Amino acid sequence: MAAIPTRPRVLILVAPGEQPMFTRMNLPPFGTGVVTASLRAAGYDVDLHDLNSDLSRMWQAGEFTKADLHPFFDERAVMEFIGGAPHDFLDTFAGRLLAGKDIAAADVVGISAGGDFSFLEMQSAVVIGAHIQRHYGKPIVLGGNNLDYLMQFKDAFHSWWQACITHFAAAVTGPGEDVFVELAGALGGQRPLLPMARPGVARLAGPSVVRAPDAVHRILAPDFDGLRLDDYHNFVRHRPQASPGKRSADEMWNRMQLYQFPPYLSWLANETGAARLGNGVTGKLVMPYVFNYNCPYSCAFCTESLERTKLVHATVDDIIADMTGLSEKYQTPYFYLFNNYFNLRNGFVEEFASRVILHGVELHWSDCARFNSLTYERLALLAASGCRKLTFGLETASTSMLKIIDKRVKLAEAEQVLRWCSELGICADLEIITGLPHEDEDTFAETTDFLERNAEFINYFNVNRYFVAPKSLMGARPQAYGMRLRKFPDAYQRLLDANYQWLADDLEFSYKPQNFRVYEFDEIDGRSAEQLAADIIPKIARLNAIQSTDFSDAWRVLSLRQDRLGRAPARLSNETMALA
Amino acid sequence: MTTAEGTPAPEDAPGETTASQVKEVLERAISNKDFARKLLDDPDAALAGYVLSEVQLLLLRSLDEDDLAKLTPENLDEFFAVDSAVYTPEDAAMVQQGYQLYDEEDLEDEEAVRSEGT
Repeated sequence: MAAIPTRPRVLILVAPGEQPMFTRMNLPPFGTGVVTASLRAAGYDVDLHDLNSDLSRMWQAGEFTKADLHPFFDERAVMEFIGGAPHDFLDTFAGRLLAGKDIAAADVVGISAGGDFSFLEMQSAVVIGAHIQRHYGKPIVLGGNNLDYLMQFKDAFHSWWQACITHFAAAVTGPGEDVFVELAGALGGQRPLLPMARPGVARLAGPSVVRAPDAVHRILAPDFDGLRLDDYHNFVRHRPQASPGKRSADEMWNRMQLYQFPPYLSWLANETGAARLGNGVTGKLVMPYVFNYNCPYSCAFCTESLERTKLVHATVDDIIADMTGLSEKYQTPYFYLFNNYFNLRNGFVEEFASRVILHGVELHWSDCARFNSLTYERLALLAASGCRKLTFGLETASTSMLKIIDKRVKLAEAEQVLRWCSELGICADLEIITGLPHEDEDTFAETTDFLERNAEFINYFNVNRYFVAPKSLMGARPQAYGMRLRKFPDAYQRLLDANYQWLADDLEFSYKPQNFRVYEFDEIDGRSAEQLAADIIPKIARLNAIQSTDFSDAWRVLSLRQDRLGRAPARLSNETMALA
Repeated sequence: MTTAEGTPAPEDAPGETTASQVKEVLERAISNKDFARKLLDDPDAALAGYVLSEVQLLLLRSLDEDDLAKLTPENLDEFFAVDSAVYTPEDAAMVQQGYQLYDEEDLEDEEAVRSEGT
């Protein structure tokens, strides 16, 4: 991208979600970091702020209660506020979040509505946009992964889209690294604004919300300069002067805290570490990074199954340069990779691992992976290159269900890989989906049998309840999968109500409502949605009972150490997948 | 599961494998000051004979004097009585509501969008 002669100023804001009211933040915002990197490379002066930091400080100072946030969960109040109606609480709260930001100096304001499928993120993004527009008259561009979620279910969230398209300069789905640069140039007066020509930019065609196809991803190292990086510290053990035995024990602990524990425990261990800062404990960043996008498989439940998208994969040279660069710049060896899956390209495992080993780079990382093509030798190379955890999408161990969803997993191969991972010290996590249409007792038992048979080799498995993704093969052709779809007439407000109730009841973070469940389904010639809802509870309990007791013990010991007895985490905290 | 190796089980240590011996270790640390001291000074020796996973060993090795001072039989029972649960507050309420049949034509107008695209 050619540099432009003047340096327009772009204010980038990350809208706050609920996490700071529950636990410390532990990961800087990846997507926003990538857009920032792209803007800076194109010559823009970027002022970057994560308003989660501000929300966290307000929360810690006791400036509000969770129940106070009710107006953010009121569809009509928020839509009317965007449309120009007064609302003291929303306007004042947005102003407090934005205190100290130089909004007046910005030519364009970009707001990320986040990527955690959080309604506070989505609602606060538009409230903050409306506040800035009202008080400062700046053009607002909305982005963030949550917009993909809102676009998938655009009929349910029509009022949100209509308000944003009507009142803001642009709302962009998909990759923002190039589109945002173009939009910032146009809105800053450098180029004409032609929203129809820009990938992923939403608009109204009559009463319908439409968008041009999303842009194609580019692989970029995120740029987090400007953020309050201490806010994302993971408090790990670090005693460089200690004996080798103690340093080894510290390394084991850090590996457990950052990679072996599921997120809810990792956060709890982080809180425990923060309380002991300085006493052999130091704050370290964990870097998020992605070097491949899009998937060559067509798993029927997945949002990537309906249409083929070209794979995007960085070269090994660029990946090593990005990872070593991030490691040096942000003083950390720790990475969470969020690739589609690590072993996507033939020969990549050998190339990546040998390059890391030969260069003597210290990296610790986790990523998703597929079982196929992972030999013992390849896994050994990955372990030597710093691989600490791989998460495999098994979804189900029923051979018939695997065929129906076109997963292309061989169970014997999966069992072998799990054993090898265990042997090599790589934590192996699984994604499991229950509640697929026509999953009966027998097919479900195949999954529980598999999990029990391999329990000693599985670190943790995420229990995901199936939901209908409209932009998946199953969502687009429900009858072919034995489903008849049903929808809620007012899903948006109902989901807002459920999310507010979760906050107002002061439940534990993992009880966050299942925001993907916009549609339900009846099985054709089978169970009704009501029966399926009743059937799923014992299934989830059955799966939870197979989970290693290590994690419940860890929750208890870490809670004891903090002298803090909260409600135990719900283990059902995930959905079937992240939206691409 | 990994078993702490080395010395035989102490007299009052449990002799058989259970799902988790973490609570038993903590209970013993409350009732037996010598054991509590040993758990702090030489955790590997103190934990020999217990059947503990690597995670459990790491957790118990990480305890310090302040942690043990917080322990009482009452709060230990309280912490170990709590278990994970499945809680899906919106489901029960939402499923009770009336549905309307979904019109599949509304589901996805990607074809139309693509044709209108760039």
